[in-house]
Amino acid sequence: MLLILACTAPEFRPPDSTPPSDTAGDGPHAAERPVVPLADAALFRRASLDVRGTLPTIAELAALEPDPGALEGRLDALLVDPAHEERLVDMFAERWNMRVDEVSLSSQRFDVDPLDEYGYLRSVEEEPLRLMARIGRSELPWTDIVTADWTMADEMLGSLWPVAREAGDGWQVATYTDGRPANGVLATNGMWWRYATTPNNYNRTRAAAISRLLLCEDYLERPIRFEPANLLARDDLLDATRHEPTCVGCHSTLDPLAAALFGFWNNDLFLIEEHVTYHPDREFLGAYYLGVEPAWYGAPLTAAADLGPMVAADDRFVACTVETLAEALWRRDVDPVADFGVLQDLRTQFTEGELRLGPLIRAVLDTADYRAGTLTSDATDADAESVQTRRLVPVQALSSAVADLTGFTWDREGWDQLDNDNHGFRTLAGDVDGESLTRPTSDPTVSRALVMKRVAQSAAAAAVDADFATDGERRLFGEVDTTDVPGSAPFDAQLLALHLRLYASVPDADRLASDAALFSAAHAASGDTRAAWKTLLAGMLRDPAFWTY
Amino acid sequence: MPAPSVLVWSLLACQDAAPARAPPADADADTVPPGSAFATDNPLWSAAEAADALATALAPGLPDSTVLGTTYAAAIALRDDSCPSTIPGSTEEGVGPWRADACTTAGGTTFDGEVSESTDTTDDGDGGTIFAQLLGGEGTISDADGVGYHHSGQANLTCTYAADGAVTWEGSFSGNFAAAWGEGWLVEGGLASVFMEGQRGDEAAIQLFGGVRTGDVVLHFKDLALAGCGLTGELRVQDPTGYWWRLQFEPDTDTCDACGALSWEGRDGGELCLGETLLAPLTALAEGTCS
Repeated sequence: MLLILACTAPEFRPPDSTPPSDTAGDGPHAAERPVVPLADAALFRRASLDVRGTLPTIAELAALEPDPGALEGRLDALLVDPAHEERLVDMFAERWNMRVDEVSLSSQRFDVDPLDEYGYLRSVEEEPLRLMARIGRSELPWTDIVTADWTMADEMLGSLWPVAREAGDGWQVATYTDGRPANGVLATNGMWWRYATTPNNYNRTRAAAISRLLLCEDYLERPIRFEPANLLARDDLLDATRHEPTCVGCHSTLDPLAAALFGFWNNDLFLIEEHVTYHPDREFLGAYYLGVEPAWYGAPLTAAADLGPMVAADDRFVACTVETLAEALWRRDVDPVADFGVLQDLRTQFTEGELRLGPLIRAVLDTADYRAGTLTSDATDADAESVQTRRLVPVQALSSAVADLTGFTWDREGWDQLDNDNHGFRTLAGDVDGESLTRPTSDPTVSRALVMKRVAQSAAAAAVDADFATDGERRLFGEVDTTDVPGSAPFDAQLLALHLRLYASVPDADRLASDAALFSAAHAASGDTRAAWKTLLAGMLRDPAFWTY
Repeated sequence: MPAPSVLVWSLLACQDAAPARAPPADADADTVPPGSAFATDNPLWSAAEAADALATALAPGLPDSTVLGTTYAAAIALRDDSCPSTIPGSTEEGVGPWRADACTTAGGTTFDGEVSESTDTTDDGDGGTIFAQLLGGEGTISDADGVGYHHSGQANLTCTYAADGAVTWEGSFSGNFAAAWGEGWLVEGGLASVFMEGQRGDEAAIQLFGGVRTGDVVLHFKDLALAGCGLTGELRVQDPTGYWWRLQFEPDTDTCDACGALSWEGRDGGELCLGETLLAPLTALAEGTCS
């Protein structure tokens, strides 16, 4: 078999699939983790999916092999890949629960074509994500996400909102023209249409969102003990928030923050202008409705324009950014005790990197937790609880990887079927819906397997049909034509290429034999090698080795 | 036989989810409030420029509920039997709710939007009367020359005409209002989110809380009150960076020159006397509302 591999893929020497023997990764505190790090190829596959949402090419994998130090440079290169910005959008969409299937105003209110409802929703919800992603990709200080005087807008937002948008297709830099303060994502309609308030909630929901998303402090996780009280009347409610000890613990900081957001408060849920336009004339109405002056955890805010700079100056903002990125890439919650040292190191690197996102992501990629492959033989049950080894590929990364690999996107009447739950299968695949499911699934599920079955079948068919119909460059099937069957050198080369491309690994003899057998059975049933390739590729895409990393 | 998910899980040799994160520490107890982090260290405007902005914003006057009501009444009078569609349940006084998708009357007036309006006059139980008007919704009334009336939001006015001749009133604006067919502030219009109350007569008085944007200038009235010619409270004007100049008033009925202490972010900006620039629109509002 090795001879076959050597003959059929001369341009590629399989990357060493044997992981390093020591238990230490390259990152900080690596020795504390009882894990065997991933081999280079597997790690690069994981990082490629996380950072740019695509699988490594065979050439990229081949480049890892001759130079043991090539991996680090390849990881650096991922961060400047053009696809990185799009991946950041997806990453923060998941973490910030931004892509919900309903926002403050429906598309019908703007006479948007019903077939473009999905586009409308994503345009609205992605505005703050696009701003963050652009700041991240552009290596601007991360504090800009709360102090920028610009935003991002596509054609949809440019036509609906008071923005001056730079010329060009798709998402472009834009500025609001309605006098709102320079507070980055905190001054975007997209943020506050997603995290809406009601006239009588007075922005408290939004204040809680700021705390959760930017400080990683969730008011809803605070233990409280409620005594029955009559809170139906506004004055009674206000009195309770100021004097009832159970309420004061949260509302003493929540309400002043809510008071700083009154420029976005709307006293009517149904009027378009109320939602679209910023109201500087309302900036001090919190004093009337909430009975408090705007403040940031005790520090007075003399203007709404102070909010963003105050967030940026708060040490918790930096700590939360580190925590958010670590959780997004480790695919688990951080443990404030067990992860303390690693998080401190990451925070130091983030700060020393002038609060730029790229160096932070790169530092997370270096951590032992990120590089964890398998547990060591002496790992305890407690270790198994605290370390995430093999993980589910995030649904949006899976979606973009399949599209890149096969050309297939699962679209139905304009809706991306892996990115919505109105018409699609997003949560069944394991993603968040932003409301009822706010963390991605970390365990394999039957529903994910079923979704993958449909994705695999359609994607395989699309890839085979397109590749075998073209005379030009093929995506996947560059080694064979319709006459090649198991036993031929082109077939074996193609099979190896598929394994490398899909799994970044070289199959063993048993696997090659079983794949060939599946192909032969499908070929015998259909009499068509293209149908056989569809069957085999669908099976490979359904393999958990494809949708995990 | 294990459940399918367990089996899949075992095959993948993945780990269970990490333990849930411990509840965060109480921010109130552990957090030292951060220091000032103003986006700008110096005011964009000089004191003189702030004064100019105040004068510019006050020149067209202030949102006037009475003017709004009469302007709307004149505009809605341009309707005909087919445009706009009025909604059953309209009050006896006024036209009541209407809805239109850019319909045009035979006379060439176009109605677009959905507006609710009610007016009501009742006894105050003490020999006087109470007049109340509510405007809500989002609507535009226009003709061939352009938009004549537009509002998005709510406006309320309650006038109490006591038997002894005293007139007191309360009003509020919350939204966007503009009416080329109106007068005063309403002609240019803008955003207004302001509560007002006052009384007419020899002891005319008015108090305001809230904000108004006229053109590009935003004002905030923090319990600004006029009684006679004495002012109390605070008038603020926002510069384009979002920060506010503040003019703090102490009662001074001797000079009637509307002088106050000007400041920016706690820095002394000297004394500013607005005189009739401020007194005139306040007095007009106090005396004109519910007239």
